[in-house]
Amino acid sequence: MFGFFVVILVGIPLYFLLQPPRRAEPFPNTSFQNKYLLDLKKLGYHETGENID
Amino acid sequence: MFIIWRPRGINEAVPAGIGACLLIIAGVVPLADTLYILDTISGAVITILSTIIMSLILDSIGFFQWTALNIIRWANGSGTLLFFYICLLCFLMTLFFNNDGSILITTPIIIQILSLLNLKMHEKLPYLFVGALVATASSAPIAVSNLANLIALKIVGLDINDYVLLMFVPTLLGIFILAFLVYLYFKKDIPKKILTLPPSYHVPVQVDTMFHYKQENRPVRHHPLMDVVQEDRHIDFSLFRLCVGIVIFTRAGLFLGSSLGLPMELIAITGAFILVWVRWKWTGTGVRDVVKKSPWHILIFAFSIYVVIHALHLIGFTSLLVDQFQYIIAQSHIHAIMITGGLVTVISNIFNNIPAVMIGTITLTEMGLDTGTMQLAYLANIVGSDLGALISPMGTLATLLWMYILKINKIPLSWGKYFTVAIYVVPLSTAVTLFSLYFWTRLFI
Repeated sequence: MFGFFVVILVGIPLYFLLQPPRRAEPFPNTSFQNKYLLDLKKLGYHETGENID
Repeated sequence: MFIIWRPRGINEAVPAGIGACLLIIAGVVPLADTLYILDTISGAVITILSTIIMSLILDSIGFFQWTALNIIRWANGSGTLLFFYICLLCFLMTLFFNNDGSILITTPIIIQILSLLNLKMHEKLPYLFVGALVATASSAPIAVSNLANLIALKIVGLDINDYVLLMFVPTLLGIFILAFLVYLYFKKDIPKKILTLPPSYHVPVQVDTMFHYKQENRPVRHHPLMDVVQEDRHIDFSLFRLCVGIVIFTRAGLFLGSSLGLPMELIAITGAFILVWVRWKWTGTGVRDVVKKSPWHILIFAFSIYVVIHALHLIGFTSLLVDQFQYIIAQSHIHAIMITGGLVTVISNIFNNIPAVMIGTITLTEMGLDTGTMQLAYLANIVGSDLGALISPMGTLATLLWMYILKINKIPLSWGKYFTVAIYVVPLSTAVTLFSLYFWTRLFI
């Protein structure tokens, strides 16, 4: 069993060494719909394209 | 001679096969003996072939390319650290695959790394030398990394776990000494600072931000590593992790299976099959590339070499060696280790280590030594054929392959230059390994 433990002891660090480096957190995509914002369409409001002012 | 010369680039199995056929036709080797020979070599050949198939699969998923990138990342701008990591890479490649495969895989990787780093020719040599020497010598620690070792192991009847217990520590020390001596020899040629990769090289970057250039006195060239990095984006890391895990567990499984009495080749072939299947399920890639690239001829090569050695044994060559060395080898364990190690080193450097290790092993089994002495002499035989054989390029097939790869990559290296370096590093590291083998095995035998 000595050989088994030698290979495992060498293999496990090798496995982790070859992992891809952690990627940086992706920049927040602002076009993504925020679920915490009110959905105006569901509430019955529709965009008319007119200037509210 | 034809195996080493290989006129018109013929496969080494061709002259070996012709020689074996002639010996069988001439009746020197009885036909009945060929079955015994086939039984002795088949397990070793299947194990090595399975290992090569696994390395082909890993290559196809970008494993070695990724490893090359990581080596540059870990070196972090230090030429000395790069030297250390190339040693580690070559050691691990041989440990997890085999010596000839390791040379075939790591030498192009090292050449690629050195070209990317814009090193001058004299700066490349330390890395190339240490890579070749460490990759070849690293087949000694665990037995399963070398075809000849595996065949010899079967002849002697030593369990692979016992082999590792007795050999791992002394040969590791020998490899460390070998690498350190290469470092001392080339110390002035190893650049202090080299190029580095930016920490974010795994994400798309502009060409001019690829490298942080630490050496102001060198011109910045276009780096082909850009292509490597672009391909790296296609690596499927889920598949990558799974495949690396399978390779590690298959390698460990060889030893576990041996403890449980399972044939080594069965575990090796199962591991290779699982890896091929996983890749097929994941990417849809079949087995065509594996079938095409695998060196099936090594079955003929190993069989033929064994037939030739068996013929030498039958005509009395091994009996001659037994008569000459039996008395001195039987005297004590230190005699057995030093004489066998030295003798096989000499024979390997003249005739190549594959016939040398087989002749050495058959001779030892004929000597009527007690089990402990015979096993020690066998282990010294392996040290001589894996480490001592590195003095001349003819000593191992892996070194000849390495010289050939350098030649086709237009890296000039004469046999004289190789010999100058090897004579400085190999005899001392072989002697240290043999002595440490003696002291280490005293704990067990």
